[in-house]
Amino acid sequence: MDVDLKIENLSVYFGQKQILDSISFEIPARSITAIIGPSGCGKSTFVRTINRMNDRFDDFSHKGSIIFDGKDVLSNDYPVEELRKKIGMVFQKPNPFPKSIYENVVFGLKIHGVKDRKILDETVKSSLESASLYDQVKDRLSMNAYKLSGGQQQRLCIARALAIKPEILLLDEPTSAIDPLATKQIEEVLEQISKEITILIVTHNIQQAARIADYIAFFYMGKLVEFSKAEKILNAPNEKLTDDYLTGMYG
Amino acid sequence: MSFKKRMLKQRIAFLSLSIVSIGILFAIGSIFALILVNGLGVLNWNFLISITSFDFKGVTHGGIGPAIAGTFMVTGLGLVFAVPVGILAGIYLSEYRSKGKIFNVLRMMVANLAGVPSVVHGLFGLAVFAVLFKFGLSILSSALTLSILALPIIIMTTENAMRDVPNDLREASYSLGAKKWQSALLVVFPVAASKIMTGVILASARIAGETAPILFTGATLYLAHYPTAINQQFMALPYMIYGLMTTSINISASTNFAYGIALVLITLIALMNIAIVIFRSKTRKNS
Repeated sequence: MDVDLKIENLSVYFGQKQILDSISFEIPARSITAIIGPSGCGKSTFVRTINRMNDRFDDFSHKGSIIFDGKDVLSNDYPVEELRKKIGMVFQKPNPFPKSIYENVVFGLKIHGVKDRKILDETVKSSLESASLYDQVKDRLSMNAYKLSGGQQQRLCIARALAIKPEILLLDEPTSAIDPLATKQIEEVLEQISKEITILIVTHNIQQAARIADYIAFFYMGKLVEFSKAEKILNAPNEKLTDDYLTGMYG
Repeated sequence: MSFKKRMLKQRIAFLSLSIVSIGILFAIGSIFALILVNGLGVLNWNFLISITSFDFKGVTHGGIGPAIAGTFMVTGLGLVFAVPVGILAGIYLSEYRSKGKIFNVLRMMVANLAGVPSVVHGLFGLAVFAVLFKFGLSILSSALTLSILALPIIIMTTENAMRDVPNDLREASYSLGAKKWQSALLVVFPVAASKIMTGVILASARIAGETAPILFTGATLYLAHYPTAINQQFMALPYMIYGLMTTSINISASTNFAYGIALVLITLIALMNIAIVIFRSKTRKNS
């Protein structure tokens, strides 16, 4: 198995408070890894540390490293804009820009200096197709993205992230604000794109992890309890803590 | 407390609130009515465009064309200076320096600047723009003075409008590799723009009606022609009212003329405020 991200002894603090405690595991390339665990276990903080979304909080600090392409992405030498070009993110609440569908998708390309109309047009089509949104919006690309439904908005956010061709896509509970039918569509999209892109998805929905994940990492109180193939975690976890969580003893 | 007692309390509260509200409406309404009744008589097309003249008895004739033009010129030029500086400063305070002692002090100073009496702005403008910078008594000096008056309004509305934009959008932008200035300018600013625009219109309504800041810096009581260059002195609506009511040799003959000017000035400012309301409801529909 190819390794895409190597997490080494990662601890994260906000001020005095420790949120993550010595996390170490390797995220396999071109597959879906789900991060599960009860609320407050640090799973969101974990994915937001990978693309350095937490950098803008003054009291954020970390120990350990995250190795991507042989370099530590958490080191100050690593240019954060370059990192985010390669590691995209989709958030819990759909957050399209209040611009047209077209402008949403090309935003990433434009800020990175792509001006060629042909490339922009092609990227809009291919990204929206990957997010299986193209057929629904192809005749109204200039419509404001806010007029789309919640599920469509979230798929637009996926398309927007895919437009800059990331190698990894982080998703922070992307379906928690979305109805079951739209959730199913997004899961299908993720399974499809995971053939080419590494996907790391935070979810508190165990069924969702069971449906789409190839690998599962179980977090509890800031620690990685267990990381393994999905079937292994779901059917025969090594740790009692994992088993208790999966059977609904807590969380 | 019994039900009856509660009802009585409710009624008293409602009644006193109604009286206060009606009182305010009455006060504002009577000011407007007074100006309307007295000013409407002199209002016609000629009044709006022709040049002011006085006869030998001190009675005012003609119109207020140069004063309208002067007010538009100082207000417009003042905004040309204040809008870019104010918006950039507001963006800076909200996006770049949200914390830190120095910036809290800066923020407090901006708020204080908004409370400085306008006659102090006038003295400052005279000392700095007219004398120190040698712009003399001119449209330029007055416009610069008014721009300082407009600055805190524009800075504060910009900062608040930018802050009101949800962080979701900033994060979306950062997550695509956008730099801070790109997020601020391409994502946050367009969302905040309609609120910022409201602040700009509010500021222009404020400075259009100011007398004291232009009093020492370039406004004059009488010009026999329209202003043609920004290094000239100018007539302005608020100052012309003041002039007619204090320095005219025949004040009673000038009173209706002054009411006419007041009506024009109030109408201009009301139009700007109506523009804000229309603008707000329009942009609200779009978002």
